[in-house]
Amino acid sequence: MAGYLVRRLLAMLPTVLLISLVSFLIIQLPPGDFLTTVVAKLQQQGQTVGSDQLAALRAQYALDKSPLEQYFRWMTNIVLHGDFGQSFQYNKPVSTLLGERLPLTLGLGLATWLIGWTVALIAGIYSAARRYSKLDYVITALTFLGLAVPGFLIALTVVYLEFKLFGVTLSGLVSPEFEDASWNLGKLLDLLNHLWLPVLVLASGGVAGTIRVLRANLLDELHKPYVTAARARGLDERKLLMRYPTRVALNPFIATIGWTIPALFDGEVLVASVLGLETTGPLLLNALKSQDMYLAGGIILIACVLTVIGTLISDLLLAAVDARVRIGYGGSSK
Amino acid sequence: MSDPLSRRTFLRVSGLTLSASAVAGCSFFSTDAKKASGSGAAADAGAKESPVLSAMVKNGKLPPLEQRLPKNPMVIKPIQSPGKYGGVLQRGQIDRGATQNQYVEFAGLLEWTPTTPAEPGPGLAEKWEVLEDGKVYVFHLREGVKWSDGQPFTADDLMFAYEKEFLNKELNPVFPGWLAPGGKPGKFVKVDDHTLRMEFEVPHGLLLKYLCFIGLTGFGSSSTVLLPAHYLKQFHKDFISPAQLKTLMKKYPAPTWSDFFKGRRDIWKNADAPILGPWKLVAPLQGSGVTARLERNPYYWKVDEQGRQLPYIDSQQYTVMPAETLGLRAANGQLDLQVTDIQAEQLPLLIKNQESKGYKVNRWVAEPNTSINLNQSHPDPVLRALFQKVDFRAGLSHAINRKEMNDALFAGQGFIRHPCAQPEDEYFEKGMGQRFIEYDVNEANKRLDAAGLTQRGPDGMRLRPDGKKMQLVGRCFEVGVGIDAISVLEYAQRYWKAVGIDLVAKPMTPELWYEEIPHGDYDLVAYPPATILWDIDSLWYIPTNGLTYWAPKYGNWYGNPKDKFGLEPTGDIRKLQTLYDQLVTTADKDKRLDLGRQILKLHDQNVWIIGTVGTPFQPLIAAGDLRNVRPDAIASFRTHYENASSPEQMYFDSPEKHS
Amino acid sequence: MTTLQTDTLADTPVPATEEPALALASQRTLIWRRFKRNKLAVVSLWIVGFIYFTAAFCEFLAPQTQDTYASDRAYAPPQLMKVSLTSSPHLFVNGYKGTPNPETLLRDYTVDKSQRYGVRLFAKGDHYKLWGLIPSDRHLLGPSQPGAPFHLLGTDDQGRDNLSRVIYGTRISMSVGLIGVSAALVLGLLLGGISGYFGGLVDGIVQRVIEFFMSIPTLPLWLGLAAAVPPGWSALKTYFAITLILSLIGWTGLARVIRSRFLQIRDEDFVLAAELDGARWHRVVGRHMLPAFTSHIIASLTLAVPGMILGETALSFLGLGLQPPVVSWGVLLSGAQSIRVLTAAPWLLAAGAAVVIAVMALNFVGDGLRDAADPYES
Repeated sequence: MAGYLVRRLLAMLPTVLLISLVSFLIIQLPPGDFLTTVVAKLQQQGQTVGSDQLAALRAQYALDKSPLEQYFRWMTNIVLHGDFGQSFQYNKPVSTLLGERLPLTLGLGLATWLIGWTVALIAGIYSAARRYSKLDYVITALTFLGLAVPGFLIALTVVYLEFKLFGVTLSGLVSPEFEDASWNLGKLLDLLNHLWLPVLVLASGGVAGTIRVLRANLLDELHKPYVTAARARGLDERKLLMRYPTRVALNPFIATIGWTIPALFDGEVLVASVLGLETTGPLLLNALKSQDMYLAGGIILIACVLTVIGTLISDLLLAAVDARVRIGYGGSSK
Repeated sequence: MSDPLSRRTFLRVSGLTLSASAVAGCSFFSTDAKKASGSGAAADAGAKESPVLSAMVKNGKLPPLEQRLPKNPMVIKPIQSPGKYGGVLQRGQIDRGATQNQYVEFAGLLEWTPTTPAEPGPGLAEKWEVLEDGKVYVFHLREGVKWSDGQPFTADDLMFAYEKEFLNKELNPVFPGWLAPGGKPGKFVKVDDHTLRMEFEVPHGLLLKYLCFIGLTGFGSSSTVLLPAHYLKQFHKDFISPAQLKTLMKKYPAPTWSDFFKGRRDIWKNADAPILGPWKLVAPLQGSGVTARLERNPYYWKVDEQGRQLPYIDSQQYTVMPAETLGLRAANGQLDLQVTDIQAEQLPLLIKNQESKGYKVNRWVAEPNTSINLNQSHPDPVLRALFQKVDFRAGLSHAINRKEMNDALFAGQGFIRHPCAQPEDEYFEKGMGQRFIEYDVNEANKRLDAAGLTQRGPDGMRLRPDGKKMQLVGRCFEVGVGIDAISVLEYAQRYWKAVGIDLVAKPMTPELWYEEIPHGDYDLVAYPPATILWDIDSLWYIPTNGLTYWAPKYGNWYGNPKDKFGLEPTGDIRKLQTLYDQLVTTADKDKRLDLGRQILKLHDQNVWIIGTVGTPFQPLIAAGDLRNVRPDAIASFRTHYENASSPEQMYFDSPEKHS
Repeated sequence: MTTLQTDTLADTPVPATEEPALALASQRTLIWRRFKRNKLAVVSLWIVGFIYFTAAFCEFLAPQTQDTYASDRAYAPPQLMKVSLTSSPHLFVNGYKGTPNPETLLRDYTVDKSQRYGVRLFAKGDHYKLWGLIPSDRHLLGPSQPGAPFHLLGTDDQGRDNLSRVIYGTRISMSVGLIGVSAALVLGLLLGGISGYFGGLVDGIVQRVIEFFMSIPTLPLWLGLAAAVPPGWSALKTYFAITLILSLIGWTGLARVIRSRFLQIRDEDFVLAAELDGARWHRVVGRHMLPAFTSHIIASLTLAVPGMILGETALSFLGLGLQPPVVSWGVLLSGAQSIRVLTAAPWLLAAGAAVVIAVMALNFVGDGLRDAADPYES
């Protein structure tokens, strides 16, 4: 097992490097660079920037180097000094900016994920076990609706309804008066009051998909002979459902936990921009638009690393849950 | 920094009150958000300063008022009535990086008078003399003015800005253009602690106006004149050793020294930097937070007619929120003063709610008139020659049915004019901007024929003079004010089709546009140009740089005749540039007005910028009990939006409701 | 029931009138029978068929062209279609009176009951060219008197008929889904197929490529690629580019589904038999393996289309996708996302309803197909 872990970890390195390199190049696909915006601003202030001055500025920011060279410099600094570079736009180290936003992003992601999964598990299992019952139809209808309505539309409508019905407009994660207040019950309640909407909106799309697939997987399993066999031996229906078919039906999900991570970083960008959440999504969007490449690159790099780690964890989890997979590993580690 | 009464002390006092209230019963189970800062209690009209400050004076944390005010404080006559102290002004902004809300931290050597049109009036300089036909300006600074940390403000601060900022090649690769009339950099000379001379090789015609314009001379720009020398010296290369710098840059990391220095200088991001304006940042926008808080500057140097220190309002709070939320909050009466970011499309809701939610909607004069800027410096010589024909532009203009647009988009309330300044501008002459404006398809066709566009293709559309197919590509991007640029292009597309001109609209992101424009390789763009105080923002009417949307290449040439993307203008366009060169170097007001009018007349005759329909008014949202707000002013970048109504003399009738 | 055939199911056979005995029925017939039992899916199939029909004939079905405007009818509310039960029963709408409001800069509309405009089938109206070829001025439904106000879903800021624009948007939005999915299918089939059939090292490499694509957050891909579309490109070219971008992001899921199917079937006896017969690999794949899971592919495709449609909406919302004057549901929605719309002109959200209906119907059809294609299903 330890050997497997080491090998997996080593195999991760090239993947991460490759992904970060490609993303770094993609960021620079659009014409121009960060200085374009800077120069436009200077000119609006009545300052003409000549081409020689522009060249000097480019050199100052090392923008005159080729993208590949820029990438290698950046990577070297990360590896040797843990320095993710500077955001041009915010004039701050990328690591600081990430440090400010990551907790919120991950917290929001985790809350969405937990709530989404709890709901999806219960609804999916129920829906499959009591197929074609009234509640199954309700769940099915709701999930399809959740899949079909664009998240930003839900967010926009709920914000408006809140205004219309309660005369409040929630934005951000805490009310301004609580922002620099220390933590107390009021702030916690206020946070929850702001949090439910984004969590609801973000979860709605994901939950719907999960319920659908879980239901289908479970239905497949329920027809398998081993279930019939277990039932014939008089196993309690609830135990029967939870012990085997559900576990097997969950496998595909466990296997894809890792893939849900990149969406954490940008999946909420639409919802976040409607609701005014300062997560990494809008940060990444802005960074990409203004070609603040170290910032954008840094966010993508972290997303990549987490994704790869997530994949590893889900593989390990899979092995822990499913004996068949475990045996497979034993064979391959020879 | 060793001053015992620095801003830090001030903060510590609020900190003390905070901990006191914490002891008094703030526990985890409290649901109270208040940090018990300003009491917000209405003060009796007799008090000369805010109760917040008198409490600090009593505690010995702040010197008494007489020691904080200058010898000769600036006396402000309130717009309506003298006010009450206290309250928190709530405001909002959409863009995190936007600068307009920072204006309240600003003070000026000179400041705009709260009039229409705005005139340069006294500020930190109580008087000034213009000598040698405008080659020398002498400014007499108010004696005893102090920075917000209690340190004196003197001519040395201005000298620091000149010597250590403007002349430093790393901080300012280019000497600020506004201080270099005729391209020749000016010079600052300190006469004594309170007298400063600015000397120029040629007369400076616009210096006083420039000094009022925060966009140029404010903190946000690289040509700030008001820099706290005592504070900034500790970060400036010329004053500290490389080793010290290295330690400091570790503390405040930045890619380069110049970025580091600018970061320290930025009074919107760095709460430690002393300021001279009425309010001072105490909690900047940070991390994922969405609010910034400002508190009154205890050393502010303006008083009302009773000698009571301004501002009346104790604090301000800014919240960053999405456009939709901002509109809804405004309609909910949760924003106390807002011009910027209030979009015309939010009007119906704002009007509907103003009674029930207790705020008022003032109608300020709006500037935007989304116009069609044909690229007069088109790289294709055939199109360039065509675009430069008056007949062509007249034809395009006559083909537009502005009344119809006005009816649809502004319920017929918008103004119909070509951008040629606006009636409130001092250079404007009655009747300007009306040429070729009426909708007349026959005349349009006649003009287009006269421009040489007589051949038509198989689809009935006019061909280029050289017989090739002609399809104009109209660029646009989201501006946020005026008619949606894309709507203008959609209308133009239909109207021009009727006279045989093929136009396609091409929307793009602003970032991409800024990348493209310096190359000057496009047909036309829809954008609202500036129409008030255009003389201090020359690029809109005179091709002075690559951002002149209707002639970018000529603008590039003006900036640098050797520019790769430059092109030498001829005729009337060149004349614009020479007239402007004269205007900038003419100190005599009448002569200057005459030159400005000549420039506008050229625009009036040539219609280089084809106007459509202007926004009828700009809504200003003000809390129901906010007093001393001007009922009508121009909402413009150059007069600093809300600040055209001097927020320091605004007050709440019931400040206790705004705590 | 033979009319059920639609674009999405072009190769689903029309069931023979005399149904063969269950034992002799082909796989397709079996699937079709099972599908028909799912009422919701059948209804949805009708809806999907109807939507694509609308997309195909939008010029004829829309009462106006997408760009016909009336300055005195900006933000006009929807009109109610009424039936007149006089001697000659007919449909009509009431006219309205719009008074400009100088405060709100909008028009206040009041319905004018005295004004009646008859509504008829095949009404004369705007000139158009069906598919850019066949000129006509007949519209399925319209006012009998050309130019009279007839806005069943209200109008937008320029006074353009919202219903017509939603109908025109159908063509772009639904075809984005189809074309995008086709492109994704080609990629997915190719790479997923190769991966699943050959296995081993090839499989490993393809799997890494897929994982690689899945690990890149989609936002930079969208932005980078959408911004790289040259500004000089025509609307049509941009449209195809955006579609390709969407499919570039969508193909990985399909590839994984196809690969796993290949892996399952590869060990079946009939494949071995074909190989032993000396069939070359492309014949084994094309003739023997692919038909065995066509239904699954169709189901996955149907489920992928809505993703593309939503993707287009999101891109337009971010200002990166299609842009006006192109009319797609995404473009219409991104123009409708303001308070003014929610308060003063909620009817402009109709494009959102269209998205929801189309996406739901496609999902139901896909779900029904998947269930029907499952051989283990009783």
